[in-house]
Amino acid sequence: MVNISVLKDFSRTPGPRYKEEGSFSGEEFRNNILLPKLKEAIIQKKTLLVDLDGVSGYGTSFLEEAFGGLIRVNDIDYKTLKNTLKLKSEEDDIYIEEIWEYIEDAKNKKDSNETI
Amino acid sequence: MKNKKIIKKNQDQKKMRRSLYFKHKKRLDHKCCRPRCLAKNTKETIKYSFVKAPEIFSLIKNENEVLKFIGIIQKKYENRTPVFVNMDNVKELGNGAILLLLANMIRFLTSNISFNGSKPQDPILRKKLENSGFFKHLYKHNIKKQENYDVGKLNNIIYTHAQKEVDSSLADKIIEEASQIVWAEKRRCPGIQRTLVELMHNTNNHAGQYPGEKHWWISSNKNIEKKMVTISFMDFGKGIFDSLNNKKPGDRFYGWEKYFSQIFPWVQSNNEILRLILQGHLHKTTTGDSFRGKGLPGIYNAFMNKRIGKLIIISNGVYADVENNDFHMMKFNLKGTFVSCEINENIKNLKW
Repeated sequence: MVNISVLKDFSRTPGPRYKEEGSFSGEEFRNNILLPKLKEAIIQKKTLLVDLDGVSGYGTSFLEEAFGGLIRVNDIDYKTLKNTLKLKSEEDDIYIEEIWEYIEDAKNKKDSNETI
Repeated sequence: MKNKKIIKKNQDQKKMRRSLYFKHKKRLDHKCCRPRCLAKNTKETIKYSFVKAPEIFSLIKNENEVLKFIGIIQKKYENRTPVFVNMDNVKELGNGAILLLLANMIRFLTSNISFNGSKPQDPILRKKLENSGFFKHLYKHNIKKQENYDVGKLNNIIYTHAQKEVDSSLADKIIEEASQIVWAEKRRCPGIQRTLVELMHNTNNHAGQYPGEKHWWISSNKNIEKKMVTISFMDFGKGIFDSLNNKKPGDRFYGWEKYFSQIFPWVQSNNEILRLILQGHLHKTTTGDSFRGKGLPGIYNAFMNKRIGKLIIISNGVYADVENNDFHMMKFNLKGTFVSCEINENIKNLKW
C-alpha cells in the first residue's frame, strides 16, 4: 500500500484552491503529493491510502481541487481512481462522502463535455 | 548677585505656573467634560464632518441604524471628507460594530483622509474600544496601504486582522487562542476552520472586480466569563447579490436568476433567495453540481451540524439570523458582506 498523510506530508492547515490564492492550496497538494503517489500506486497496482486526520480542517475548494482535479485536470480514469484510492477520516466522517461527490461531479462534467 | 537672585525667582515661578497649567489640563481631560479629540492634528486645523454613532452600536441588535451610520461614513469616504465620529452617547458596542469602525478607520487613514472620534462616556465600553486597538491606530497619521493589517495581538481580548489572500494558518491560530478560552486547552474546530477559509475564499474570488482585489477583515472577541468567542468577518466588496448579478458570460452562476425563477417562481425577495442559497439550491439549479459543502451552503451545513455556533449573515439588503430562522430585508443596504459566528462549548471540537 502507498500512503499519504496530509498532516505529515503536506500541512496542518490545508488552504485555498489555487496557489495564487494563498499557501497550502489544493492545487499544490495535488501536483506535489497526491498525483505522484497515485501514479506510483497505479503502476505498482497497489492501493493509495490518503489519511485526512490531524489537520485543522478543510475548505471545500481545497478538497474539490485536489481530488476532483485528478479527473478534471490530470485526466485520471475514473474507474482506475475508484479502484486505487482509499480515504481515511476517523476524526470527521463528512470528508470521505464529500470527496467522492467532488470526484463524481468532475467525472459527470467530463462525460457531458465529451458527449457534446 | 541681586540680579541673579531675581532671575532664579522668576524661573521658579515660571516652572510652577507651567506645572499648575499641565496639572489643570490633565484633570480636564480626565473628567471627559468635553468631547475629546483623540487624534491630535497639530499641524493644521481639519474641517471634520461630525457623525454621531448610534446609541446601540451593534450590527446584530440595531442593524438599520448602524447601516445608516456606515452609509454616511462610506459617502464621506467617497467624497474624501474628514470624519469625526461622536461616540459619547454609545450605550452598547457590538463586536461587528467595532470591526466596522476599525476597517473604516484604516480605509480613511490609508487614503490620507483624516478620521477622528470621541471615546464613549461609559467606562466599560471605553475600555472595550481601547482593547480593540482602535485608539492606538487612530494616533498613527500615516498608515501605508498594505496587503495585511494587524490591530492588536492574537492573545488580546479583541484581535483584528485584514488581508487579501486566503490564510488558513491564521484561521488555525485564531482557533488555537479561542479554544483556550472555551475549553481551557488548545482544541481544533474543523467547522470554524472551514467557515473562515470559505469566507476568505469568497472575498478573494468574488468581492472585487478581479480576484484578490479586496481585503477581508476578521475579528475575534473573547468572552472569558461565558467561555465563548465571537468571530466577526467582513468585506467591503460587492456583497452576495450584487456579486451574483454581475457575473459575466462563462461564469457558472451567469444568468442565475432565470434558472432560479423557473424553479422557484414564488420567491420574490432576496431574503427568501438567501435562505435557498444557503440550502444549496443555487448550486443545484445553476451548476448541476452537488451542493454539499460548497461556499455559503458549506457554512450553513457547518451550522446545521453544530460545527459552528450562532450564524448571522448580513449582505446587501438582507439580514439572516440562521439560528432563529429570521431572514428579513433591511431598510439600508450593506455594500459588502458581514458574517458572525460563535465558538462555544457545544460545537464539534477535536484534540489539538
